[in-house]
Amino acid sequence: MNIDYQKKIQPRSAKERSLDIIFYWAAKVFAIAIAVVLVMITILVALRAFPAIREFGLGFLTTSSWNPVRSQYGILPAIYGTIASSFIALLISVPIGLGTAIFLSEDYFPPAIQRTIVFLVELLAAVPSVVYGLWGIFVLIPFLKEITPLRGPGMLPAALILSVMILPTIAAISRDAIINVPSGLRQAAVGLGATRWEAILKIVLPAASSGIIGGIMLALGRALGETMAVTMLIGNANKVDFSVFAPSNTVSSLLANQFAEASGLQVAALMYAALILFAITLAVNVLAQLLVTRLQKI
Amino acid sequence: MNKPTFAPEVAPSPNGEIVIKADNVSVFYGDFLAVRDVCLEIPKHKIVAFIGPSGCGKSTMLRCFNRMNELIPGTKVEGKITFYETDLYGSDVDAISVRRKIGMVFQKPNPFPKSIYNNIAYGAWVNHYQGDMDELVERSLRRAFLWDEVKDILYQSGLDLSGGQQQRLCIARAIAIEPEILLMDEPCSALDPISTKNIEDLMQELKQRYTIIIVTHNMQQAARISDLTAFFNVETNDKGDKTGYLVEYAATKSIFETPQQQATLDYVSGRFS
Repeated sequence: MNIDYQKKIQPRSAKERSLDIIFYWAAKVFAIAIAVVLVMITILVALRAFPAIREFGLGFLTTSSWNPVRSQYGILPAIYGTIASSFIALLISVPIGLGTAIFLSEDYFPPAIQRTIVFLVELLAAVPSVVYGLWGIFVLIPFLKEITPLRGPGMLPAALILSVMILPTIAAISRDAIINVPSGLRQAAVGLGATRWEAILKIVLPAASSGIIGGIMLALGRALGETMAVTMLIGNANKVDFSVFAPSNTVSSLLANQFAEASGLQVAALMYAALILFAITLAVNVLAQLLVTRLQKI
Repeated sequence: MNKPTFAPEVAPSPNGEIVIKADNVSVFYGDFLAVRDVCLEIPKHKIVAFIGPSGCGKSTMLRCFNRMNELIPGTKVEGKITFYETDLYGSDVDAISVRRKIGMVFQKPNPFPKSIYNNIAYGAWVNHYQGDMDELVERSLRRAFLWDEVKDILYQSGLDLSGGQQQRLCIARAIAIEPEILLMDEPCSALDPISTKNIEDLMQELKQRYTIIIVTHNMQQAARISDLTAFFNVETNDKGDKTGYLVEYAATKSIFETPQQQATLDYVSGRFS
């Protein structure tokens, strides 16, 4: 009996095999489901948008009137506002976030203080966006009215709040990327007589660049899609005005403001706008992936 | 514990000029004494090998010579290390200028994730080199016996090279800034035997121009390549802390054939307990 047992390769139990098969299929179904959900959302939004696409075509992107009474819809101001607010936010938060990341990856502070600051920066991301919006309305806008030509809600407060909201993403991801640069590289640079800044600027940052760019792109994705705080602060004016002190609009705040009372062609127009927003964020992410893979090869 | 008497500081080459002199050097990491009371002199254009068991402080000692230990917070160096006449730890000497004179090659090849060309050019850049960069790159790669292998791929990443080539690139990078001394911290321990042989041959060439101090775990390597050998040993105190110290420093031949200390004899003959 015992000898038999040792010589013979035992078949696996039926229970074990079926568990294996169940697990295999479960994993497969979940993985496919994610892709299916994404594709289904896109298709359904596109289908609901179809009347507007047929009606307005690409002119939807280049016209500025949003008039449910006359059924005229164009989202040029919202597209401009989306891109401008995100761009201004990046302009502010990339230098600050990168500086924070560099600072917090060096040993300028005792470890305990450093950990605290890192934690606080990451906590910025935990503040709900409606809280940022409230703070913007009751603190930031009154303050800006004192020192700038701003008269009420507008592009500037929205972009400033966006920059604060995306700062932790940039700082935290960049810091991780910098910390993960092999210490041998930094030592090699220092061993050649590089100062701290020469090592950081020419060796550490380039080596961390794919992670840093990934972080910036993620932040951009968040800024493009951010709705609540922006809707509260941007003024929701559907016209293109290049002044940062003027009220403006973004695609996401347009959607948030209009969906409740929309019907008929207006719903289709909103779906069309949603599709455009989705296309923009998709393009940003694809671009990010391309950049990251290209940089990794160098 | 059998505490050997210390060989006095040694300068076995009577006519050699002394480049580095360590005088009663002890290194602490915080409160922990890593290596104590080292006295030795490094003559110019020689290869000096530091050997000894793990934890004996040979790498720590090596890193004192270009103040790389300062990258570890809490490191303290007592005693005096002089480079020619200059006190390396003098208040008017800054670590960055020390490292420009005393280059380093690390255990694991660590080329920058840049092109081969820019790996060399980086050191020149931080040293504000004004001359012809192409010429410097070629000269450095030639001196590292790497030129023929990479002259057609200068703009490819240094990381595409084999391990042995990467290490020679790191040597080329270190000598591009024309240091006086090259510190090598187990430069062959991550390499195959053929690459190791290449690096050893290269070191023989380099010593015409540079003084080389090499830390090695490999006693045969020390015996093959070095002119002088310093044997470090480790002692454990009551609290279990391990402290390294210099046991014997002499011409390599006499360290391996007629060591004066029992501990050295035990170590080089493999009877190490």
